Amino acid sequence: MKPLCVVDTCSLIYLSEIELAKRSLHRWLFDEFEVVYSQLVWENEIQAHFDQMGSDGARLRQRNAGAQRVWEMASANQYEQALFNSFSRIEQVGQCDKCRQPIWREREVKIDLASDRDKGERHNCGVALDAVRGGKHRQVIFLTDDHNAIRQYVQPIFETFPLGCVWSSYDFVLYLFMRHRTRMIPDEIKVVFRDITAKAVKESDMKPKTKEIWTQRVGAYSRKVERVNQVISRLP
Amino acid sequence: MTTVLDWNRVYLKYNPFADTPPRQPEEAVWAGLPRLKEQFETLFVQALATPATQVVLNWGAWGSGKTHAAVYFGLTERLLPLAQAPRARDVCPVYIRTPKEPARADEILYRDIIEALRFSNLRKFVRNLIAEYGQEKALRLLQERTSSEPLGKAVWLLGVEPQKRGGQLALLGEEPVQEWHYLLESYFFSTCNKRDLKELGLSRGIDSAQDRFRVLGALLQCAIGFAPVEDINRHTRIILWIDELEDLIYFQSRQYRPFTQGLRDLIDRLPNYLTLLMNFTLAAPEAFEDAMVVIGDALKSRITHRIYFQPPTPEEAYEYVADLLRQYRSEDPVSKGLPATYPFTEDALQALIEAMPPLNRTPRDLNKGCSQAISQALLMGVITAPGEGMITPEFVAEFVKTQLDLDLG
Repeated sequence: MKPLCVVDTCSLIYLSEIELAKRSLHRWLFDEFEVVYSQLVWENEIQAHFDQMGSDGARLRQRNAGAQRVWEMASANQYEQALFNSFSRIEQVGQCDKCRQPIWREREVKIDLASDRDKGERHNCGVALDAVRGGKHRQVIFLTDDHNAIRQYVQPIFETFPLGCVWSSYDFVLYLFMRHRTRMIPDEIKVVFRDITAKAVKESDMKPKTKEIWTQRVGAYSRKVERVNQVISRLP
Repeated sequence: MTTVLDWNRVYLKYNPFADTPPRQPEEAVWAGLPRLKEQFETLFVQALATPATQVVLNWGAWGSGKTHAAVYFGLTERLLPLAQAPRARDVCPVYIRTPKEPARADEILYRDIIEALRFSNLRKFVRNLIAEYGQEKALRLLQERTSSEPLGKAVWLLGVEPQKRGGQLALLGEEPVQEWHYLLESYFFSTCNKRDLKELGLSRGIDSAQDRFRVLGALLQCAIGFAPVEDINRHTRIILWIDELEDLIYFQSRQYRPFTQGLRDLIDRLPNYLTLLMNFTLAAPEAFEDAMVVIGDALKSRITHRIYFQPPTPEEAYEYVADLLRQYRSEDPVSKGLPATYPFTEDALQALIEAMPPLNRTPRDLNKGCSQAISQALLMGVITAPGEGMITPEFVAEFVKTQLDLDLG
């Protein structure tokens, strides 16, 4: 059985229309994992962004293929309520008077569950919990590139509930390289990182600081791919 | 309601602490930061006194002064006196930004450089070439330089003024014809049609990214001059400054490759008398290798110099503010028994600087902090008349509490 991958819309957009070893990243993703998402993500987000996914979006739309990937669960709202109604996370609560470094503390936050903002991530967290709790899947991969939503919702949930790991699109591509290294070279992977980044930054509110964070992400993953390559090349 | 602050009350002509870099090189002043200035001056002395092409990566935090440096050193009168003879006969500073439309990046870079150089100057450069070598040899040189007969001829045509005879444009006389200039300029911007090509006597247009960089290389070489490399005083140094190179992160690989490879080709086509400076915003010094990943191997391998705009130490920051105040004085406060840092007491200025965390102590942060502190002191009536009232450490402590927490923290 393939591992379960709960995927967010932004990752599907960023991974779209990019090829690696002559296959689209979407195809790689759907071949490697059992890809799922919540009903809400499918209805409110993925379908609204088909055009941004080009031919990969068209494939999801064709004969309603994308609907087959919706995780069946009876009470998505109940999961959202249970997970986020009483919810705490680590937040910046101030600044040190002397060194002006931020001070972080875990505190309870009130989440407006009626708001559509980040609702997709909240429902996908419910999918992850339901999948593991139901016993069919022992662990899940939660794939998202919305770093704000990761910080606000996904990471606090995954820190408390041992459901699996949170991946970005870079992690997924790095995984492909690790698994199929004989079919790809590090430079190809770096090109893919660049293409994913170009799509991601186009979507973001690019303050100079945000641009720097993305620059550092590309740099960090380019080094990771070199490291993976170095290690695997030494193995029998 | 807006209040116009009277900076004369603090013996300043106007607010010296600008939020944004100056637009014109003539308006730019250099304050403090002597180490950084010296690094640039050393670079430009070398640029003026030796032929080798330089490729410089300037990097530092947002607000660290990279664009300001580009504007400040964008003035021929500021650059030429840096080196004694024998040195380059002239410098030609060109400032452009990294194109914001990745899909047309190479095209926009080409267009921006040509527009920064100006057609009137380009015509003059090619005319000088023709005057020096004669029409035929000049044509041959340009065709060799572009590795193309039609592209070389197009550059050559810039130096040949046509004369209208019986409705036909002839390449003989001396009278400039606007229509001819317009036609030729359209050619360089790839907006002319087949009939225009026929009228110009050219068999093809500028069709690809490679063509554009070949033409650009030839145009810049015309500005530089074709004399033997070792004759330094018969050459002009091109100083091409590309700002905001961190925007390469917006480029997909298919857009990024023609752009960076085109730039690399340009560097390789001009092995002498080109100084290419690339500004890259990146605060963390340890993230330098990440910047290299974004810049890519094509350009990385050509970099000859690196200049890091490091955050000023408290002492450098103090000297920066003091120097800036000095350069904008309407009257000297010291002659009136006030501190040189007026309206700040020396302690107050130190306190303001020390309240800023090291990574938030860029010239932009210092400008913002000082501008706000003085404005607030003026608005609150702390300074009522020239020389009456000062910004004290106590005022700064209160100001830092209310302002810096919000704006600079």
